Amino acid sequence: MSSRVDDRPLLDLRGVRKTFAPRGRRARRTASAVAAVDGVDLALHAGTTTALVGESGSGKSTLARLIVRLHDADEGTITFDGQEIQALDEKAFRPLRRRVQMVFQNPLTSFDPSQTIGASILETMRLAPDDEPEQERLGRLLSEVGLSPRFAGLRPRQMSGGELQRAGIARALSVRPDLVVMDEPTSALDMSIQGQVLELLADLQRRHRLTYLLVTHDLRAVRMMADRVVVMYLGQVVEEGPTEAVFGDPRHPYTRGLLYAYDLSGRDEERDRDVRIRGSLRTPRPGDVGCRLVGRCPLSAQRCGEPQALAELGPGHRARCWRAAEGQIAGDRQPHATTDPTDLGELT
Amino acid sequence: MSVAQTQSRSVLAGIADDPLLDISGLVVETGPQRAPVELLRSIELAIPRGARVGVVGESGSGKSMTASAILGVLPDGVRARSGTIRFDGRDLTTLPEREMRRIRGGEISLVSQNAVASLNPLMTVGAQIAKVCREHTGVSKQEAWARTVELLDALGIPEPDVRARSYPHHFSGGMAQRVAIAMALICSPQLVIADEPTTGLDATIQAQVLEVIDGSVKASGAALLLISHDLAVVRAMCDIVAVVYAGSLLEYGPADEVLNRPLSPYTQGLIRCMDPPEGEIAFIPGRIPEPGTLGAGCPFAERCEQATDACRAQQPALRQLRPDHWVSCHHE
Amino acid sequence: MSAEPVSAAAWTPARVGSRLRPLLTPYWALLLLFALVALLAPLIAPYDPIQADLEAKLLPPSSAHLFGTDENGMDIFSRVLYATRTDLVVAVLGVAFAFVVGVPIGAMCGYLGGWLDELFNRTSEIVQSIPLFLFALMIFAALGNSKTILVVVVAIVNIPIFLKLTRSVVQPIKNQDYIAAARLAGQPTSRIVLRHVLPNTLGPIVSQASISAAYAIQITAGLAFIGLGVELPHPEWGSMIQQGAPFIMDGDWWVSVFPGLAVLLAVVAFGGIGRQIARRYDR
Repeated sequence: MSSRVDDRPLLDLRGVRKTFAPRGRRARRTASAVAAVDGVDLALHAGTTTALVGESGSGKSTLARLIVRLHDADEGTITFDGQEIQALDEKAFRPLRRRVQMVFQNPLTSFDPSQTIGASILETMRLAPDDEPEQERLGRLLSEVGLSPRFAGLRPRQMSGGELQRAGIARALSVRPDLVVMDEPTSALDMSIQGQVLELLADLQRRHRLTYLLVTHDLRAVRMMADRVVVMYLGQVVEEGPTEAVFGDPRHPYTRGLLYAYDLSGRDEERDRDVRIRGSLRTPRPGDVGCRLVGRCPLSAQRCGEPQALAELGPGHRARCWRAAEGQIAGDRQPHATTDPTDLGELT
Repeated sequence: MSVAQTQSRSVLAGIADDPLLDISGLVVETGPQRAPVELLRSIELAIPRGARVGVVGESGSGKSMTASAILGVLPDGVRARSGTIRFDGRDLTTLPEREMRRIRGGEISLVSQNAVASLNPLMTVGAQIAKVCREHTGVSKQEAWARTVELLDALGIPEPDVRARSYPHHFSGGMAQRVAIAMALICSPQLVIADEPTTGLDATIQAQVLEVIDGSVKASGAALLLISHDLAVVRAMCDIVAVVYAGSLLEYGPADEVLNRPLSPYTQGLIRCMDPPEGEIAFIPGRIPEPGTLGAGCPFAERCEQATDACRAQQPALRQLRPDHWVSCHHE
Repeated sequence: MSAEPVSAAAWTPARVGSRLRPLLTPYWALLLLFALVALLAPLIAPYDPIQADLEAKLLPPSSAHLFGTDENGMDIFSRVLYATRTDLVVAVLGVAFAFVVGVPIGAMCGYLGGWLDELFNRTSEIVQSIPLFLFALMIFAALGNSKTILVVVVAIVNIPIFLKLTRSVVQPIKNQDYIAAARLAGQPTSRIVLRHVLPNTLGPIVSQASISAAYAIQITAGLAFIGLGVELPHPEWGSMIQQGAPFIMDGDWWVSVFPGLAVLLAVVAFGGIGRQIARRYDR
């Protein structure tokens, strides 16, 4: 593997962990602590779009917030452009803030209702001052996202969801960042509008050579935009790889179950028995070993109780399941279910 | 609610002999009397007995407002100005509140999004469901409880007699929706309205809940009115599809027809958004109009590629271009 | 192809009108009336409020004495007017002080949490667990009996209320995306609290301020009733009510009733405004 500087990822996470404990309690190992992100490695290369996919409780949103330093990781390293950032205090990190920005999920709450859009964008823009007069720069930014400069004087409540989301993108881009983390950028928008925002994002990426981390549960958006997909479940990465590989030839039972769940029309009894994920989520605890999907996975076995490692299955394609590592799950090959489909597993 | 009658039966009612529900010429507005804002401009709908009708639309389409109108629970300040809602031979818009109360929960029931929020947090779920049962059917406490537990079991809730004694907040999203479905089915209604029943749930849970709705409604013989912004959900669950936009019905017909041979440019656009061709990012340009900003023409005109002056001037009438397949569009 | 904003102008005549119209409710009018009375008391009052006239003791209301006279022959009407200054000033100052101290601390507690929050929470609870009059007695005993100390008592009693309220409205806001965006813009905590948190939480807090003012008037009147705060013969509604209490049994009702009505109206005015503001922010 070449060690040239160009190959170095823009963002490199190793062994990142984040646990949420109830306030005031010291113990991280108490029963009520939640291991939101539990040992995640992730590498993002410049100019690419990586999708972080998972359901609620997967830790994808927490991970996104760790990357932009809204939370601090408990363990692990986060390296941005060669510099370790996880231990920097806010003051030391501040100069880097203009290189990593975020677009939020809910356009209605991503802007301060008591300020105009222009004022909000300026607040971020001032992280990276330049020679261009502020008002002109603001107008140009808004035009670039398809909004008339007159929007600068409006309050959030005077704008539609789609317009606010564009303004949110303008705000993130106002500092010419290297990396833009997007937390469900289109989930709150109507179907006919979602594509507008995605198209805009794709266009801006081409123009400004941006790197995107797209956190989403919308697999259509992933298909449309992402080069790589990282699938998370209960704080761990369970599968990752190029989009075509992960969606075309999913290896981890969770990925298979997820794709099956999304494909509402593709039901048949056999797949239902062998692929469907049963039951519901349980809370991830810090002391958990072994696969978190046990009880919900149709292929659960004794061996699943042991710690599972991410195994390399193809170029850049990894999955955290011993069955996948042994080639039991590949293409059309699918083992038969080991558990009864009516077994609903643990209910919360 | 006393309302002027324009037509008595919807043109769509021809889709079946004696449909269970048909809505004709429904106009719902809000705001001051002198300058009303129309939320529903022209809604038609027909639900045959035992059928599964999906209403798909984006925000502002009026799909949820239609459900509220059927149940007679329009919010304060919102009123049905005209139109009829015929249910099993009666016009719901003219029924007194006393009658509507009997119908709600008893003959027409509702499963809404995030139903946990609509359950009483201070009562056990079993008590709530049994209460609904007793109030509408008059059976004894024991009988109501027995029916409740039986139904919870049928809906896949393990240890139903124990879980029935739990409170709503003890249930996770998917389980809570099953409880809501139980509440909706306990009185064996003729029509179940499901308004975004799985929105907000995880994909794996959504699939489960939709299956539960599918199975239980079919088993009870009730008709289903499924309201959703997600065309994929409607496609998976419904035999008949109605497409609404900005308060008007734009297309109606059998699911296979509407989804594979759509007539309305809006439906075509939506389908392209749901299943974009390889490598393409699909969307419909423009923004969704605010209520009250629409002119006299077709509400979709300003976003439609095929719009002509005729489209902008006058709202097209519903025409049956294929057997049982209706569309509101000036073009063929 | 740029989208144009659909709703453009911010300040149309209709908008300005809709902002001013709420001010025309009776509550604001009442408050305005009180403020004017407080200001112009020396000009309106027909008599010197502390001028005794033993010839004119306990006279019922008449054209000469609109509200009658008390047992010292002082004109009750003039005394009620002058008392407005005292009661209103104590209420407004006390609440203002409580606001200025309680709100920023509450905001910091709500936003930062942690040991700061614990500390002020516990302190507030301790202060609030002491019965009001006992607490007032303690303060007066320690610091002396005067109008200034009265303002202090009113302030201290209200600080925990503002602190807890601010804290509770700030907590749900601190996780909003626009706060995160401000952090991503490198804004320091103090600026975030001042510029983003407080402006969006002022509604319920201002509403509480009105209600606290109403409460403060009751406290003032109540304390005066037991002889604390304002000293005789200084006109103050509460002490006037207390003075007149023994005479009600003899049928001389006016000595207590008129100051009582004043208290009632003031409480209603402040309370009503508070509720009105609360309604606006509930929407």
